[in-house]
Amino acid sequence: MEVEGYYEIISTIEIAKELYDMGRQDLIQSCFSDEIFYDYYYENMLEVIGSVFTHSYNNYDDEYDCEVYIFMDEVISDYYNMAYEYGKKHKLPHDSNPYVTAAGNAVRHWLSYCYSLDWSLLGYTKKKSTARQSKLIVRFGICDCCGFDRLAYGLLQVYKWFANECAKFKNTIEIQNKEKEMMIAA
Amino acid sequence: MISVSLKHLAEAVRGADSFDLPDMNTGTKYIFDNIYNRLVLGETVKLSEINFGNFEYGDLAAMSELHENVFEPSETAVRNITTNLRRIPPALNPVVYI
Repeated sequence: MEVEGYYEIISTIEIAKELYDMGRQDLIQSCFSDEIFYDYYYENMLEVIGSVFTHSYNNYDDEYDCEVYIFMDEVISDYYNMAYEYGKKHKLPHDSNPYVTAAGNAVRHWLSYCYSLDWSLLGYTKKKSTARQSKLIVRFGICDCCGFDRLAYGLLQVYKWFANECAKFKNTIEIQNKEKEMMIAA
Repeated sequence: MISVSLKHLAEAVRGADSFDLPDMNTGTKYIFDNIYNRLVLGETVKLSEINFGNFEYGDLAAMSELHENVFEPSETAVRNITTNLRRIPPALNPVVYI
């Protein structure tokens, strides 16, 4: 059965479904054209890519002929702040901090599917408002293998990972604080 | 020269097994009925009309497998048969002069 632009259409619905499962129906409405049409694929995917994280900046690098995206979000900043506290408490250097390693592994898992896609995770841990914020930088050239839907999906998974890990971190810290309080009370 | 008896062809088509939809779970069936089949029929499908709670993410991959392994090959086979039949020149009726 012929469906023109089948791949683009099914990819669009997949990303919309993922957003629905994440509870982000607001992004379905804001990032997608309501009518499902294969010609809207690139526009829809670029909107999603730019909307996954709270702050997103992009530029075109003429020298390397690639798009550069910089993503920043509270979930990334909070994660690195908590990882830093953990490292300080256990006297671990940055490279030996298991939480820093885990973040790199997670991003590698979701964003290393194409030879023309590169990424960097910059974790800053100072809490001053003027301090640099932790960020994810993604560079990708336009090629057949670097499907925008795969990039959008990968970024959604990275966001989910950081959000889940932050929630776990906060839970662990709360439990430790309660235990401390109980010990002090005893 | 290939000759085809239309009578025999029609009988063969009538007697052929009907195309049954492959088994699908409820989620994939929802996608088939509300999205895929409508797109095949040339209808406009809107995201706002889709109830994303009616299927799982994996059902979309199942639908794609059916599209690639069942529906598209079937359509290609039918298209090939139709094209071949169209290429067969009509038999010329003998002209009888009285």
